[in-house]
Amino acid sequence: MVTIPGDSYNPAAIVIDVGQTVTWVNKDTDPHVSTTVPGTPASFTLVHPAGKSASFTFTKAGIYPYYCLDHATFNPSLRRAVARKEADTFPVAMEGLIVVKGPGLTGSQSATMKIAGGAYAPDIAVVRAGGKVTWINEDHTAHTATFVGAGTPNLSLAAGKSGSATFAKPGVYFFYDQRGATYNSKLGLAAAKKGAPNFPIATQGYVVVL
Amino acid sequence: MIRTRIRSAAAGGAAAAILLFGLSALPATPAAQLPATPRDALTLVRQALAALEVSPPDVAVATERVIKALFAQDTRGVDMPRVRDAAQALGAEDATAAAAYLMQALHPAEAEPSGVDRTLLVPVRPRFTATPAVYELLAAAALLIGAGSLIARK
Repeated sequence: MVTIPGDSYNPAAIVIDVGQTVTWVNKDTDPHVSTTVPGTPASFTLVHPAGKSASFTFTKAGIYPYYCLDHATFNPSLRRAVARKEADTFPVAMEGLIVVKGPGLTGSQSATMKIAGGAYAPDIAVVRAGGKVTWINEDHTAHTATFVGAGTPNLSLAAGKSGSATFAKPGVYFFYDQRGATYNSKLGLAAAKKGAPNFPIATQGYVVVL
Repeated sequence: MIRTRIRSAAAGGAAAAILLFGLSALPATPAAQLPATPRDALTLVRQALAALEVSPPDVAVATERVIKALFAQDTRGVDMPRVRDAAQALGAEDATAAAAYLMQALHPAEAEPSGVDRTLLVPVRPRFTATPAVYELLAAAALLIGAGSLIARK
């Protein structure tokens, strides 16, 4: 179950098995419209009137980033939700992630993420348990890949340098660039700092370990 | 002769005063009689389509209308799954795809035995509508003008 307490999803990211149903419970006084970003294995657009619930059954494994159409727009080139200025959580976009495990989502033993123009590309990596993820900073400025939680890596990546981390346990690991964003523990997402290259889009991503 | 002119002027003045009073009783603008925002999905989808027909397409307005359409109680004449597809396309700023989905959403509803699809009929809105009191005042003003004219002739 995902709760909508305001202009955010709680939790921001969840993992389910294929065939399971996710229910969004809108506890906000505002209506919301959740929609998947283009390119997901299946798409949904769910209407959440204030105080009501809506559900979707995931029949295809894969990664499903989604956002609220009423409180965010979508940037096709960065493939990220962009908070509308009227959103209570601005600059944090009302966005979420659903990882649906099952046939077709196997993950690789290693993955590479580039950092260019102040953005991770791709911003979601899927690896198997024990898999390694490498970040290559192609920018002319330093960045970080800072994870949240005890025992998680915090990589400082000078301009033109790279760094790696190995993930032993399955789960969804959120990371962000400490140079251009701050972590909002309440929302479970990063907030872009003013002056960040893609403000209000925060430099953040996920490592999904299967 | 002077008396006749005075009576005629008085009657004309009274008629004009009643006419002005009657006109002041009318709504300030005809638009004030229209609902501020339509609540039916059909109108909202049409408005969204119109916003996408301009150059460059007004994606913001179209998105706002489509979101309202998604929450509309009256969805007659609209294929709502296509509206959801349009919403998704608008989110991705794909105005062309959104317009195509909205066109599909405006599928013709099933016709009645007469062959007329009543869902898609737009009710005729009268050009001038007023309360009975306004009509009474206008009638009184017209009578006074007529009376004034008769008196003037005599």
